[in-house]
Amino acid sequence: MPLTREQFNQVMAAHEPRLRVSVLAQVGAGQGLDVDELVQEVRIRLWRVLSSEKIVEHLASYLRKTVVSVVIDALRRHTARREDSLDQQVEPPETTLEPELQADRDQRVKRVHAAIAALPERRRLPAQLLLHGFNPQEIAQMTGLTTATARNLAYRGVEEIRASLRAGGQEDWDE
Amino acid sequence: MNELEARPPQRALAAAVRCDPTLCPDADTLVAFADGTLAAEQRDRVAARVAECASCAMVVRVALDALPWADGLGDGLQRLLDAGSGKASGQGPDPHDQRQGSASGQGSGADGVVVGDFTRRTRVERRFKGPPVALAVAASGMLMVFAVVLLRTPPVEDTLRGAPMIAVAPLDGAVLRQVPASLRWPCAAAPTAANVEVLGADASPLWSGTAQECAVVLPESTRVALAPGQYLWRVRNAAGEPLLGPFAFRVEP
Repeated sequence: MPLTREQFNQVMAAHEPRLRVSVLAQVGAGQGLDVDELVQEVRIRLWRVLSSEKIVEHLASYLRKTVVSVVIDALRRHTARREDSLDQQVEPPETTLEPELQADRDQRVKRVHAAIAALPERRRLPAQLLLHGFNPQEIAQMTGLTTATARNLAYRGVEEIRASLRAGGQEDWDE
Repeated sequence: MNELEARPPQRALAAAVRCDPTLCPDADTLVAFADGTLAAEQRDRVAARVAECASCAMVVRVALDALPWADGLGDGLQRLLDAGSGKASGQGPDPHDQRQGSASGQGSGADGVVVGDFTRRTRVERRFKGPPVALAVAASGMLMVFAVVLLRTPPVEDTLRGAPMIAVAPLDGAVLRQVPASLRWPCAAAPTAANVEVLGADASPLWSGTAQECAVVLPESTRVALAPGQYLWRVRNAAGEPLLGPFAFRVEP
């Protein structure tokens, strides 16, 4: 028997704060996405399925896929909107830097690219994933390495990137 | 180098690997990738994409961070769905249940009545014709076997991912009569803890304080100000990066 709306609202209300804090807050920050909209979209999609007769085999897995799918869709919509507004010149771009600052930033980005590209292939991927904020255990899980190997390769890779940037005169690369 | 020193210059990298999110793999693929369940060839392709694209990496991050939430909500929803289909333990099956049968055609109510169709129940009863003592011995034996199977501790290596279970005080999800005087966590779980943040149910920050000896004391004024309801708290390091949590507690006087 499908859930009633009252049951659904009750159980969602109990778990929604955790969704906001641990998952969606970081997505909203700096990505131009609205956390309230994301939460609402997750609710709508879940309600649509759970109020129907559709049987969901692995509920927890389905819930995660729903959240991920909502985030991907929101990112795509956001990108499309941004491109539209740039095409129409209705709104100014989100970040407008002074030409000198923009040039400096481009230069830094190029240096980071070059430092990453110069890494030995075996260390490149773990290091990049570490730089994206994944921990060694997660990197191991995602790449099929052991945790010890992933940790070793990732940290050595990051250290090499750091050294390479310092050697190129970029002391404040952490900033 | 410790993990904090190795923490990413994420903004620089995000700028370096900014990409079009339309090029990210779909949700199923990214969740499978986060769980490490993709085949090697596809895993390598997705890993390369994620490493090259900050948006894709962020989505994988969401898939990983959503795990405790999904487990908790999944349990809650499953209980409701089971109750709706008459599978809930502790509830005597109603006549409707016995007529319709459960989806799997098995299970038992609290009073020992087999929930399923009458044909099946008749077969079960017939099989156990015999002296009551023998029946009791057989039932005890089966119970012991089930207890051993169900209560065994799952081997660590069987667990691919799971919600972190940390002995914090108050316990995650605790229902309390009043706002706790302090929030505590195991020192080993967050040796670099510097700050604790208390958030409302809508994730709005309500209070933050400095961590001292793996705990933080909530001032009386804050405790009084927190009305009955649900709250979350998390531990951060000096750089503001989350170390532990969020943990939840509910105040119900």
